[in-house]
Amino acid sequence: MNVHAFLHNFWENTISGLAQGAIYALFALGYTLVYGVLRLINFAHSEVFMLGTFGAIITWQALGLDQDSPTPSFGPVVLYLIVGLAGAMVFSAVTATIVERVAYRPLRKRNAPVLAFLISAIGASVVLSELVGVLSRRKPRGVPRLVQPEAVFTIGGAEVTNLTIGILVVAFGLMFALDRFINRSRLGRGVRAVAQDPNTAALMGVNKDRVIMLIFILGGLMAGAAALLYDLKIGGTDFFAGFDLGIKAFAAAVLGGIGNLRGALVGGLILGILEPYTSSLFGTQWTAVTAFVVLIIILLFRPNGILGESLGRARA
Amino acid sequence: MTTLSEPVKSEPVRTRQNPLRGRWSRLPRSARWAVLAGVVVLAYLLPMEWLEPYLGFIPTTETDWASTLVIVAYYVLLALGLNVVVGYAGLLDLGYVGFFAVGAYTVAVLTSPDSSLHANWPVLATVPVAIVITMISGVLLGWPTLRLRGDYLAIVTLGFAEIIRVAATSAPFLRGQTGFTDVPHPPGKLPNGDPLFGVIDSKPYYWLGVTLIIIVILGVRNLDRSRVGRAWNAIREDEDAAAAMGVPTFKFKLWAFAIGAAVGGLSGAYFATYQQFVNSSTFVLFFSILVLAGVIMGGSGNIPGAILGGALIAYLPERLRGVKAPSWLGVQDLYEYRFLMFGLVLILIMIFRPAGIIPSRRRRMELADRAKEVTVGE
Amino acid sequence: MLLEISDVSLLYGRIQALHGISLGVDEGEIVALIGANGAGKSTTMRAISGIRPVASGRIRFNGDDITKLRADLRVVRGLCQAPEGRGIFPGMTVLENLEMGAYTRRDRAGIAADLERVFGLFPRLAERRKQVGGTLSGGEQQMLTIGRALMSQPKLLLLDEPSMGLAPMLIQQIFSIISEINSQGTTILLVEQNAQQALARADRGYVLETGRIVKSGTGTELLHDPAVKEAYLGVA
Repeated sequence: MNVHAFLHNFWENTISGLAQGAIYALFALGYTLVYGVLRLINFAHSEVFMLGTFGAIITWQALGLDQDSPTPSFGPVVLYLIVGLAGAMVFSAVTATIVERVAYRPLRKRNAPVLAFLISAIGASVVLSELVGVLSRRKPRGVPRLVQPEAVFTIGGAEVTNLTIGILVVAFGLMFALDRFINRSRLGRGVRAVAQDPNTAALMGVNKDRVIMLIFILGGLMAGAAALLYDLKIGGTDFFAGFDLGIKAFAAAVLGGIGNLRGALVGGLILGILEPYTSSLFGTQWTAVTAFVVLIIILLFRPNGILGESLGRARA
Repeated sequence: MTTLSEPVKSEPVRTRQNPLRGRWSRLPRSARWAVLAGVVVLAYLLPMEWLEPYLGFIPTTETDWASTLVIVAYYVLLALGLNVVVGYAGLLDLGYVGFFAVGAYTVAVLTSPDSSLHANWPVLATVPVAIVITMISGVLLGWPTLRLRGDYLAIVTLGFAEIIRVAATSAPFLRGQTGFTDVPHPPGKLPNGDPLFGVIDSKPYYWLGVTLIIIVILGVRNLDRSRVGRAWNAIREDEDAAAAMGVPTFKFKLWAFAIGAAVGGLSGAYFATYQQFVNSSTFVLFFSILVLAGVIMGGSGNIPGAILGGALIAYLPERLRGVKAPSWLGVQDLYEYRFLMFGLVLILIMIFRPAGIIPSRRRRMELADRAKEVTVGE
Repeated sequence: MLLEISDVSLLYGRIQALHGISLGVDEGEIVALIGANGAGKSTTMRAISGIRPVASGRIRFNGDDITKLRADLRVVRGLCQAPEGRGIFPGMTVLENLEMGAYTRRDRAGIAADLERVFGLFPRLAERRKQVGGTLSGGEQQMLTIGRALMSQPKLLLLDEPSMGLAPMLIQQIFSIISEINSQGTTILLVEQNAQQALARADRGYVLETGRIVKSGTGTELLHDPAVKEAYLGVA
């Protein structure tokens, strides 16, 4: 155990962990929304994210930007980032909608057992990742250098870059908006109603199919935003980008309390911060298991996650 | 209660019966045994060269047919073991490959000359050790986690498999990518003095596999028909109700986990001696998911279903090797698209046969009963 | 006729719960459906509100065939059920629950007016409007389900066991509120085990046994029917 490295890199790890955690949290929201309403692990959500990472790149490509393009000046960069964000979100949301239509809805109509949903979601996940694998010739794709990380200020000697700030602002902004939407809007109430009591919700005139479609779209939009932030942070993507990150994001959702929007935030941030800590303390190779070790420990003490389950059970 | 009308019996509505199953259960006992014996004999004869011409398009073209059958055998073993956990006890295990890895590594560590233990045990002696160690790892994993609700178990088991994989990759003792070479074959000599189990002819390995499968089937079937099996059924259908009726649910879930783990460990040991080489790249998560998909696709809770599912996921990709793809696809081999097709097949089977290709009778009933309950998304 | 059910049968898995039920509700009426536990009262309600699909028969509402219509679309047509027991959204506040009742409506002013009307009928709900539904008492939850159903401005209000599990005082109160709602112009179909109260308030009634309608008549007729008295009113 390398305590010196841990202390030495503490602030740096905390800052980069927060940025990574914000991405996990946005990604985890899709799992939590679907689980909250349908009580299903949406295994295909990882590929919804993965398609978002390509969505941003494809959008930029359509605008004539590739990984070798020089960094544009500030004004156009903001515009490119917004368009890229929109592109990624649309790609992911459309993918999520297709997954719901193809892999879930037919099973719902046939009253299939829960395991059948899991397997068909796995099938959808495999199809999507393979499809992109074939189309991308299984090669990684680079992202245009839109943001050159520059230190804006320092905390405890660690630099906080413009990129980190941007990631946190976008992620927190979107999560806040989603939270407001679910808790305050009429449609959001419909979502919570179906999550709490689907039959009674129907008696109140809520169209379940539409609510289910809505949660897939919302989860997709958030995953798309996470995908863009991931693109910028990592600088590239490949057809397999969703798998590992998806498992961690799901772990984060469970950690915080699956079905609970704020739980996804808490779980994501905790996981994001603990990973670099583990890496300094025990070595990088153990980063991958941090999520699960923490998860098992937390679940032993709080079997429903840190904040507990609930999509609207009490106020989200 | 006094009533105004004559009491009316509510007539039960007949559920659709599987015609094949109906015919099968109407056969006299002797005929059923004869069919089963025929299936077993056929299973043993399957890799014989003289049989190949009669099998039509079935044998693989690119991979040696007997070697393919060995792969099928260890997948079937895994499917049988996972079926106990998922199909019987209804526990969602996404990290079953972890047990397979523990079994394979136990054999490798105890026998391989690369091992820092330098134990060099005879390979047969390591098999029971491998089984016991996987059982223990099953109990160790199950003890804290089986109290959790079903979906949490899924992520925790998945994590277990990841931890095992990362440990295999990172712990120097387990040698990571380099792995363990020269895991010995089981002993035994042919009349001409050649070793019975070797790299040239995979048939004896396959026969060993079939024998292991039969032993596991007999064991699992007896368990399922015993008190343990009834407890598992009760737990799967309604855990709270089972607990309320005095079934020690935790104990029986732990049993299912341990037995499933043991079969997984056995399969891992079998794999290690066949392959003679164990390293960390074999035990990826996708492997677990593949086996789980096989069990559920075949028909979880049902031995023939699990066997069929396990066999299909092992066999189909191998069969696709060397199959020419239409030119517009831009690849030579359909093998390139095996996962894509696999994914599509999974979705289609779940849509059209949600309880699997060969659903268990009990599962069919559960499915019919589910119509009464609140269903997914309803 | 506002609601007309003809020859409806319904299956629960392999068990037939309703055997060819026919009944009707006229505009402005209170109609009571009485019967013992398991007679099929709640099942009839579920068939009418569309939560369970019927196996055969027809349901007409306001002149249209709604047999195959989805549950949520029936609400839009003016058919709303206050579900049995604790059918509230436990994680939502009283106000949010009531707003859920108005889910299909867009007229903000009308919704606000109806909210005041519901608070007028149930002053207790007004006091607890910020309280989370799951923490209400049984009687308050019952009021909430009725108030919530009213928020959809139903032409026909389906009430499933509104008196279940309530103290006698509260039962009286709930039934007088039901009469009041009816007098304000809402047609009501009421399912009850408390046959005495239900029949006393109802214009007409039906008696349901093992999934069949075995008797019908005006409320008073049924109240004085010897067989009904013996079976449901506890009078020999």
